[in-house]
Amino acid sequence: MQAVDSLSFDVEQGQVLGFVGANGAGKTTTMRIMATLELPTSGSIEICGFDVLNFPTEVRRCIGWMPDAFGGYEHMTVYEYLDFYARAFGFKGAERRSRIDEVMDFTDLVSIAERQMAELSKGMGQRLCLGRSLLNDPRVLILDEPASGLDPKARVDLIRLIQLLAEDGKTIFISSHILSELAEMCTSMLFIDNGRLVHHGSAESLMSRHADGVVVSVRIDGDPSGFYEWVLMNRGVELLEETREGGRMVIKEDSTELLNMQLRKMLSDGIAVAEFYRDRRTLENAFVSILSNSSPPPLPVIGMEVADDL
Amino acid sequence: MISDRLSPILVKELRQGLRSRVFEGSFLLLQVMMVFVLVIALLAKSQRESEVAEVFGQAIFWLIVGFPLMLIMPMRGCNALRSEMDARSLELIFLTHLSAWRIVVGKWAALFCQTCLFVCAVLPYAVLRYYLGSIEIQQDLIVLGWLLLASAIFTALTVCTSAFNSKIARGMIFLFPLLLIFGPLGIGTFATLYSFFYGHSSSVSPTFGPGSGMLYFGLGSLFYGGLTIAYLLEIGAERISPISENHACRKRVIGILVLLSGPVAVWMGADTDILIVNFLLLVAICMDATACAWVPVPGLLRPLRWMKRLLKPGAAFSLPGWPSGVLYSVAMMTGSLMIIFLFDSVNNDVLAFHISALGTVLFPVAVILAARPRMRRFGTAYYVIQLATVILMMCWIVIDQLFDLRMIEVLSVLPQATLFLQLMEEADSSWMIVNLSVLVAVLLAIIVRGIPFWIEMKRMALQTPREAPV
Repeated sequence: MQAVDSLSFDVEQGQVLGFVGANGAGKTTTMRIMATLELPTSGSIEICGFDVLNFPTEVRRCIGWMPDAFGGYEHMTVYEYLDFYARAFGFKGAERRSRIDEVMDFTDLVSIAERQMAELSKGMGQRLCLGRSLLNDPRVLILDEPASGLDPKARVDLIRLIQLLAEDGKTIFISSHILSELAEMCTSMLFIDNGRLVHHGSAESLMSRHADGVVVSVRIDGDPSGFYEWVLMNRGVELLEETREGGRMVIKEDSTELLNMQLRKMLSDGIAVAEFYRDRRTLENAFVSILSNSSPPPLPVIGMEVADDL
Repeated sequence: MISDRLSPILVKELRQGLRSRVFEGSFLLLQVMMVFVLVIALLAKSQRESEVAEVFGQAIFWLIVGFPLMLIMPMRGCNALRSEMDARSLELIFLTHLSAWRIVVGKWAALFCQTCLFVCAVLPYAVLRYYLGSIEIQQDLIVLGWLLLASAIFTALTVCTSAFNSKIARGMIFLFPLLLIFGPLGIGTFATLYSFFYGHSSSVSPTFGPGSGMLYFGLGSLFYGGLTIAYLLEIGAERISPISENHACRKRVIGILVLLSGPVAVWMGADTDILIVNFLLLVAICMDATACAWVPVPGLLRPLRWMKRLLKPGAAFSLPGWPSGVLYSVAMMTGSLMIIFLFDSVNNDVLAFHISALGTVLFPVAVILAARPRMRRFGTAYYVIQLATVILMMCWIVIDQLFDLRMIEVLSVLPQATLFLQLMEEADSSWMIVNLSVLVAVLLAIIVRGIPFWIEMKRMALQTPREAPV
């Protein structure tokens, strides 16, 4: 089975890249390959100038990896957990203790330092996992679904931490299903489907892509059947969705003047409009639209090519 | 700080292990049982008819000591790597500076340290028993040392098996060394070692007593025990490690140490039978080296870049995968034959042994290469073929015996069957010709089908980056 296919992209230092795709799209596989945990069948990935195939040890030294889920240890406190990883990263004595304190302070874990790992909530666990991935002060952070399963407060806390890390100049590669959150913190986004790249750019550029027309929601005073007939009779207008009190239509006109003309025509044709407003295209809508518009590439290319030029 | 000098995984495992209910419970139980043993010893001393009580006390003492050492602590190793794999924390550890080898060794060392704590806890009672009854403290300490070594090997075995996903594989790995230890080979090895090291000094009594023979026997056991532990842990490390780590190299070095230990032991005065024992160990090591799929990962050769011009020949013997495994096996078998030739004399039997052993190691490779050269589950296929051949051989022997067919010679085309029958002293010397023909055919098949793989290996050695970019 091929998880990732001809995927190629660059990420600049200090960028926060959102990695988006449906379940099984190949996000985790890509991230695991980047983290040297899996091998690509072909292609290459360079992180901080090191090729993951030839220099896995060097790559590991400059990345921090936070998986979507991790299991805790029995009979171990939060401090001991970080202490173990700090030792494993080669910190010794006072330097180790100071590094752990720094990380605990940053991730707000000081108050639960002596708590057993088994007693941690999901949010605390994620903060601890983020803290662990920061111990070696990585230049690149790879975060796989860090906010999944968190309550709103824990999610806000985690996003704040990620934003702070981004401000600190770290390159962050983050995958999530919650696109609005990604749009908030990412400088660019990478959308993949079936292991193939479908969009790479800012959230705004995604929303403007495939947006051929303006979506208008209309509420009708009384029976909306007249409105549906009007939409059918008029060229350049398309019904997107029927609702109990009206519906959503797309007016395929780009200029404001032509848009106004269509709306005025609707009123002059005697449609009992109680209210109408322009619908903002959401990131989710844009992504779904891209997925439905994406067609398979003409030539099958085996393997993956991810070039990360940091 | 002392803990800074210890392996991080050892510190973590000790922290967790010493707090576990299994350790706490069994440690307390051991103390209670030891007090019970002391009471028996006191009773035995107070009563004149003490012989039965003494024997009973001895049996109870060793049962209580043996239980945690040979059962509880090794069994805790069964979950050592599995728990990390299930919790998905193993890959997080790989991203630190710890290698798979250090992880596995740390896990084993933590369990061994806890076993040592058990032994230390027993020592005061052993001394007290000495003062209370007619017990030879020296003998008790030697037995305790043996138990500790056996426990260490057994723990390494369980830690190694915990790295395998398949329950069948775990069972097979668990059973194989036990059969080796308790089977004829184990007894033979033990007897050879024992007779050699005791035969070395005539002043040594056959019982466990002091003397240079005991020392040699102890050193020999420590050497073989240490190699066994290292090999088992390396198998475990290989199973869990990222594919970019080379674990074949260290295992093959252990094979070379086994090969070289023979002449050293003979030079020190051992019987040349030890060379045969080493030869059988080498067969097992060569099988392990050969039963491995070829995955070309350029980074595998980086640790060997210090070899510079020797990198290419070095790669030919040390890369994981059957292409280098085949070359290594041929070299090891040739080396074994040469050593026997140097210290003993090569007769037809020895030559036949080596031919059938090399055939046994290489036969499945030829079969797999003929069918599917790029098979992913190469190791599984290798051992399935070995097992199928053994079953076929056994069935044939049973049928031959039942129906009195007298057609056992048919088996001479199977190197595995020949090796087995040679060990049982049932094979005819005329089988050697058939066996040699089979070996030549196997080698030819491997060479013809294996050329692209060796070319790939050579190319990989040439492309290995020397230094990381700055």
